[in-house]
Amino acid sequence: MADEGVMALFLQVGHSRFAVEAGQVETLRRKETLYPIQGGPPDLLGLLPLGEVTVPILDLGARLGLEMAEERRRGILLVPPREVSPLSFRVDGVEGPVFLPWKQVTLLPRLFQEIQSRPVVWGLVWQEDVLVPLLDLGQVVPPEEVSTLLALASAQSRP
Amino acid sequence: MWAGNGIEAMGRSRRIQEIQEEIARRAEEPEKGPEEMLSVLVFYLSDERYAFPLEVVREVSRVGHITPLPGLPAAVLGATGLRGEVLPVLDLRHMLGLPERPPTAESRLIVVQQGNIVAAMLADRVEDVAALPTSTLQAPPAEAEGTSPFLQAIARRGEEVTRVLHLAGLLEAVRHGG
Repeated sequence: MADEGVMALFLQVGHSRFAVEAGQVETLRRKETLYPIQGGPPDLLGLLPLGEVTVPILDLGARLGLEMAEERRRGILLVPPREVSPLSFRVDGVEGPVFLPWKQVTLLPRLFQEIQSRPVVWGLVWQEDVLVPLLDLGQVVPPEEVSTLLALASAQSRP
Repeated sequence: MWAGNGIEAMGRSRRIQEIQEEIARRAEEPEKGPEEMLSVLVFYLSDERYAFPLEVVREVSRVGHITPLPGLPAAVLGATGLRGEVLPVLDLRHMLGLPERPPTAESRLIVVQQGNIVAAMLADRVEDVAALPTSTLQAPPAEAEGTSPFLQAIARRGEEVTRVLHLAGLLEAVRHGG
């Protein structure tokens, strides 16, 4: 058991660094031209046709409330498996996958667990003396908003 | 000579009587022990002097890297690692309505514990441990209504005012959105 751990991808989002469990990302895509969408929240960048579905793309940094001053036309799209999230997220960079032994991963302190409205961050990764938040991509957007975004995408992608 | 002088003897007996009365009076008084003290850790936010009761203080540490976390109340600055332990870092300035100020070389983290909750409070400067006579402690004034849930007492000594913070009140406020 001592050599077990978690595979993770490290995300650069503006000036911040996050990690996600590698199984939460199915595909990484260079940011392509997105179909604009009207009437969505400001962090909704557009729609991306992926096979038979059209996926809403959200700016992860803006969604997390980070200051996003720099250029956002470029970037990488994280496409999670459908069972994790039917939405995709734009980030500035991705590293990995990296194997993290369990001793390098810790759960959130109890106070954070109590005050987080949704478990968007489920743990922290020790990197030297710095802690990197482990995101749950399935929790970034509240379920009711996911439904609204999918309905919006569906309405706008109809011929 | 002992009894050579009647006046002297009378004076002496009056003195003895006074002593006996004093002993009797003291015997009836409740025994005065040493004055009760509250041990506190004194620190500063701007120029204001604050304190935590020593019983809730675990340690004082330099400020390391603080990782901000999304989706948490504004009173939470983030998480920091201290010798392998992850601690939430709380912004006392925000909770007490003081203007924002980035940490300096003098800033310290005061690690506090209430039950099984451990947190680090960012202070501009930590002074020392002090003993406040409980007789100098007053209830927070009504005008401090906004911050009174966070104040346990106010100690005044001359011009010097020390606000003793109520850790449970601070943590409760963070739980309710800071």
